[in-house]
Amino acid sequence: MLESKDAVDYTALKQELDEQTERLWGIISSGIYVVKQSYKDYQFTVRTREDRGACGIKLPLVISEEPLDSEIEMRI
Amino acid sequence: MLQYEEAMARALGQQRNKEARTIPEEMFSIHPKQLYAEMPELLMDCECMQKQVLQEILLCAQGSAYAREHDFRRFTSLEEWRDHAAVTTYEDYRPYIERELAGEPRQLYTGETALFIATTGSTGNIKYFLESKAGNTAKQLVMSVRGMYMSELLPVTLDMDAKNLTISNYAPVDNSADGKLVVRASGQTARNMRKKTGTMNLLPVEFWEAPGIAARDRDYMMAVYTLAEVRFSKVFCNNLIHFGRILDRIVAEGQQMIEDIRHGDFSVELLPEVREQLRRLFPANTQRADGLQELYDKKGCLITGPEDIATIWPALSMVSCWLSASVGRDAREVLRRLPAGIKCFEMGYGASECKLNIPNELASASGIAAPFACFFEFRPLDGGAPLCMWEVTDGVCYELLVTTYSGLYRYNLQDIVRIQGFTGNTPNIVFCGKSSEFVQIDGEKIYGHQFADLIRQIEKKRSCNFDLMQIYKNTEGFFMCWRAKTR
Repeated sequence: MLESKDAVDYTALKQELDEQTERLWGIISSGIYVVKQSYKDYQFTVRTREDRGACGIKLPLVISEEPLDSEIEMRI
Repeated sequence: MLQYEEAMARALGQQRNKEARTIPEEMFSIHPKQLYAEMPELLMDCECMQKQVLQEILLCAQGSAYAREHDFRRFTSLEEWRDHAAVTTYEDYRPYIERELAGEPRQLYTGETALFIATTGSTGNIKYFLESKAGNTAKQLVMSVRGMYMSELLPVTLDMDAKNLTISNYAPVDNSADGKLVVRASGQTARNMRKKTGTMNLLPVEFWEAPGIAARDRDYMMAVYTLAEVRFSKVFCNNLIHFGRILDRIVAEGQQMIEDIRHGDFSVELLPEVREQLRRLFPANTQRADGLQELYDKKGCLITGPEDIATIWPALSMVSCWLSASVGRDAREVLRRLPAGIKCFEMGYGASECKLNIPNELASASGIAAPFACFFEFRPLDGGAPLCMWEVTDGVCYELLVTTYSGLYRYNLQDIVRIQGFTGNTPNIVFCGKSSEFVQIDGEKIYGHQFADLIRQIEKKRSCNFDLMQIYKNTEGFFMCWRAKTR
């Protein structure tokens, strides 16, 4: 069983996710990236430092760029 | 006859000319308490209000360059509109907006343009919108009615001695060719709110308008101002994660902030004239600094948990922020850091284009669709003709199209909303996410909000919280990017 520093059982979470996505849409994720806290901090900081309004500082749900290796804590 | 009915009759009975007032403008002249008292009646018949709003917006459009070029004269009935009006996107308006910005009036409507709105939206690319006088008033009307619902549930909002922290991008962006302000929608909301809340705000207007302050320094200064104010009671912050970052700065730099409060200064780079002006408004406060120092010395940090926040700000009692969609996930993360008794109220769903709903319950992301703000249409996600406000089904998600007093016609906001019950016969709506955020897998289109709903179910079942959830897709398939915490 894989555990992150936060003591979260991500393998079980992935299994749960796969069961649900297969049931709903007949698909299974190719993987999970457990990203570091610094990834979110960085993403948010970049957005607040740029001259953006309230909507602009929220993080997108769907991203087009893969997180960097240095931003990933664990791959499942 | 109720006052809102009289206001509608007045608006629609006028000859449409430069002096004519629209429904939102007439309604805005009703005392907010009276209008609030009439809201249950008004919300019993959203169909009547919506039909009249559409009729009026189309009248305001007549004579504009857009209406001429798109033959608006053919829209003589709701049925004509529904059968023939095209669904539009920003690109349909760009040339008209550029011409108006360059000083050519009457591009999208015939009324007066009050200001221009700049927005980066969620994409980061800047776009401009026109804001007619009527459209600007429609937004203020929604804000006013929201304020009445909020004060009914949270009387502290009316307490002049209970201080507000309002976090917003306040500064004007620029001026147009004819000298009109170009502002951000959230900044304009804050500016309008400030007219009503005045001395309640703990951040002076001079701070917001001061030039040359870097974003990181601005956050530091907001933290110092907030820490210095023992009467700090209310947070207004669309994306509550921003307030969370201010708490982080207090955790990391509390000792320096105590020194700043003791000396009435800010340990950041400021232009000399800005420093002088802000120092005059921020007198040294030895008593507050001593009190904070005592707390700091006990734990070596000002904030180690919710109990410290309650000690530092004993009056802190409410937070108003966005509770829906992915921002709601971030808000819940920050709310978990605050004392348990703090009440939470949805800030209200809206966009740069218009304000759309009126929250009416504590700790709920939904709000009543504001039938006087614009004309709403709801496009089913699986295709089919757009539905009117009085035709939608509870629990169903739709893509929202709006026709506004500021010259957007059947405009696709690219927002997905869910119907969450009705108030009277008016639907309550909750923002779910952007319709542009989806992944296509094996021919199946799955929206980001559908993944988010699924993750919420898993969170409940597994007793954990994801403080980050994003989807990334490449040729191999789709990947989830997560960061979870056990409860």
